[in-house]
Amino acid sequence: MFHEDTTVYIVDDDQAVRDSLSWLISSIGLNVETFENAQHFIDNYDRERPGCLLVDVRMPGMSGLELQQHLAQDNHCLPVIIVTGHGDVKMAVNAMKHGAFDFIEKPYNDQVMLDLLQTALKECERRRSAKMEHKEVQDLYDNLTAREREVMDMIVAGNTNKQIAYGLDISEKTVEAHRAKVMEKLEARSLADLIRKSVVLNVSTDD
Amino acid sequence: MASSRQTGFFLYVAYGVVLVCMAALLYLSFNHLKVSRDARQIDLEMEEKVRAAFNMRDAIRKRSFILAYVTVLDDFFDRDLQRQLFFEAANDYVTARARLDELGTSERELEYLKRMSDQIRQAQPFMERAVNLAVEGVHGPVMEEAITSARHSQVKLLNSLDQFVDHLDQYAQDAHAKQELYLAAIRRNMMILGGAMFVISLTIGLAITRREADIRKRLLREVDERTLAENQVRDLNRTLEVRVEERTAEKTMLAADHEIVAAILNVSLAPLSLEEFLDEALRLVLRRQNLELLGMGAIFLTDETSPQKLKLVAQRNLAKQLQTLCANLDLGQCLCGRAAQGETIIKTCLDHDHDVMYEGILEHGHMCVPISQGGQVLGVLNLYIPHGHHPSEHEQRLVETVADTLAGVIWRKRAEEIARTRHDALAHVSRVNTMGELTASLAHEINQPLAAISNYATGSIRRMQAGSLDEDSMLDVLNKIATQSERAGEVMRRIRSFVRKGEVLLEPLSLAQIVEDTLMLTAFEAKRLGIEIRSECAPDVPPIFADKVQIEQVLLNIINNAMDELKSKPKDQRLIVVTTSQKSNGEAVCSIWDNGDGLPQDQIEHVFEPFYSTKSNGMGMGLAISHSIIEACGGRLWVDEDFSKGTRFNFSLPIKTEKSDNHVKT
Repeated sequence: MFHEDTTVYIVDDDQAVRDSLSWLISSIGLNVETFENAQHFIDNYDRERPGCLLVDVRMPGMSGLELQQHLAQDNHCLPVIIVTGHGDVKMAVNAMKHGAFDFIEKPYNDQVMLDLLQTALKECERRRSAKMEHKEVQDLYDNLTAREREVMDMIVAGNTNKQIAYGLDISEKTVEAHRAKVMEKLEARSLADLIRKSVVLNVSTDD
Repeated sequence: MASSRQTGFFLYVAYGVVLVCMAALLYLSFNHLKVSRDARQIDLEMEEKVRAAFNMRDAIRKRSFILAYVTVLDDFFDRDLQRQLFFEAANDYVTARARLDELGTSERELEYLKRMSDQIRQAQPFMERAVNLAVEGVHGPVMEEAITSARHSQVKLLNSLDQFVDHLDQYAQDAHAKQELYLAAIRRNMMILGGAMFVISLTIGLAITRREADIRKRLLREVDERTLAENQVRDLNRTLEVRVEERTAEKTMLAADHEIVAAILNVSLAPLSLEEFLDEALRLVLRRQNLELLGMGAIFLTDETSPQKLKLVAQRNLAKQLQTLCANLDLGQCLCGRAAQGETIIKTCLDHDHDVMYEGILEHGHMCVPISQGGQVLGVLNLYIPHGHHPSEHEQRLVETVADTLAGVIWRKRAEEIARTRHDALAHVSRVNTMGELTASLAHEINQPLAAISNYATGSIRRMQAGSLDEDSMLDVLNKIATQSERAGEVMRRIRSFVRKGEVLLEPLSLAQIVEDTLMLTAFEAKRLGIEIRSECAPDVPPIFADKVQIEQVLLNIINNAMDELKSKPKDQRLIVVTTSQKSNGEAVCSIWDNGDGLPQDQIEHVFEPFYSTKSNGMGMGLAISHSIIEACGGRLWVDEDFSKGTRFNFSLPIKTEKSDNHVKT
């Protein structure tokens, strides 16, 4: 179902919790790697492997929250699930605001936990493919000339050729030539496809 | 003064008289001198005259001689020579006569001289004739007749001369006599004057002496008075000096006294137990310089459980036997036991009052001062003094002051002890409170093993369902589950021991006192947060019937909540008011109001439910526990619903009633 490298990373200072979680998660055939603290995880995990991160909010040293924020700054696509205890809900909400994928409160139902993990792994795949598509479009976009990019921006903004010609103070024929070039270079089959690709570009740059 | 002025006047008169007398004496002596000189002058004059008269008589006699011998000695002398001599004699006579004239002559003398001149003139012819005859060498009757007549006239002349001389002599003698008389008169006068002067001078002298004596006497008297005054001043100064010295000594003494009290009070601030403090205080007292002590002493305290007993709690250099013998004393036993009855005992030697004796006890005296506070004897300060030494009033006072100071400290230390016990009880409450703060971490502690157990179990179930669980793994996992179960049990046990509670005692209590004690505990925190806490306690609320520590827990809990609530207010607007009053239904009510934001209506109904908390770190147990405590005491805890400004919690408690069974298990 998932890529064979897909791994669930567990960061928890409690050995029993790490071990039992590993036992539970591996029961559905997922790879599990455990780390006893956040720093250990940062230093050792493989960035190229798809997966998700299950981290306890309360830990000595760097807390789960801090680890999640650290990964967000690192522009990483690994979904983070925060495990909280009683009274830690406020903290979990805070983590969500900062881009955590979800949180789960102890004590949890095993099915809920495993379902959440599945969702997170799907999200990871989605993020990875989105990232891949963005890279492809970006590569095509990089081949455009400055004038072509201008023309493309104006097309995406919904301008007609006439308006573009007037706006850029060039002839309508020239606009048409640029337009054909843009479509060709970005491998856009239609105007809709071009706009979708430009959205991918923009989303990614926003990311 | 009047008599001295009279004496002065008299002296002036006397001086005047003396001056007059002196003038008179001067005049008299001058007169005397003058008369004497006159007398001498007359003498000289008379001598001259007599000499001249004798010269005249010599001249006459020469002529008479010539005449007598003119006839006999005619061969012998040259007649011319004789004549010459004769005339020479006549000249001598004339010269003498001229001298007399020169000297001046009185009438009487002149009479004599005239008569003599007449006689000379009468005799002259006879003389001249005789001489002439003699010169001519005539002898015979004529001659003789001439000579006889000449001689005759000559004799007459000589008689006259003798008479003259006699007269002169007589005159001189008369004059002398007369002057003598005069001089004698003068001398007499002078003597009289001298005598008078002597007398007056003597009088003056006496007067002066007397006056001087007076003055001297007065001076002496003044000197005496001055000396007396000076002596008085000196005496006064000495008295003052002595008093200053006494005062200085007193002050030094007071300063030293102050020092010992200050030292004791200073030691009392150190974190020492009562016994340690008393030991140190005793050491300080025995080290005193201005107390005559033997360096031995002890402090006894009355036994709190049996007030008829004294317990030796501190001693210095006490004989070994005494340390055992006096470890416990009965009230009234020995000197210390007597002092414990409230009176200072002072002994200068060992006597029959000294009940505790042992072989080889050394002679000594004692100062046993009761340590009492508000009429209650707390103990006895016993100091050894040298045998025969009578402690001064100051020493007694100082020792009593020390005893009073000790009493204050003992009282305080005991109060602190009570407060500490109470504090221990309250620590339990704060542990319960702390639990609220620890809830999150406690939950985490419990959740960890539970989560692990759950994971192991569900993981196993899934494997079993998939048929992928071998026996070894199964055993391993079951072991792990067991371990985690034990771990969870351990956590639970820890929590239970943490909140364990004991038996409570219901007793009559002053609600106002509880409020006061609790506010004392919250004062520090309130001050730190800038919260003003006022208490308004109705004075005549009868005692309530409850467990003191529990009611304090409730009050503390509510005040702590209020203080938390007030943290959102500006510092100068934080106020809590605690009031106590008596309701008409016979309940005592305590209300705690804060001027915070107040409780929303939907929270009010939940605040007493367990595990309900508006605080992120709260367990939600404080008010629930408080609620059950108050209800257990037969009271009520509620919050005013229609209170628009701030929050007001109230609890009511029954007024003390006679209950026999006042032990309640919680």
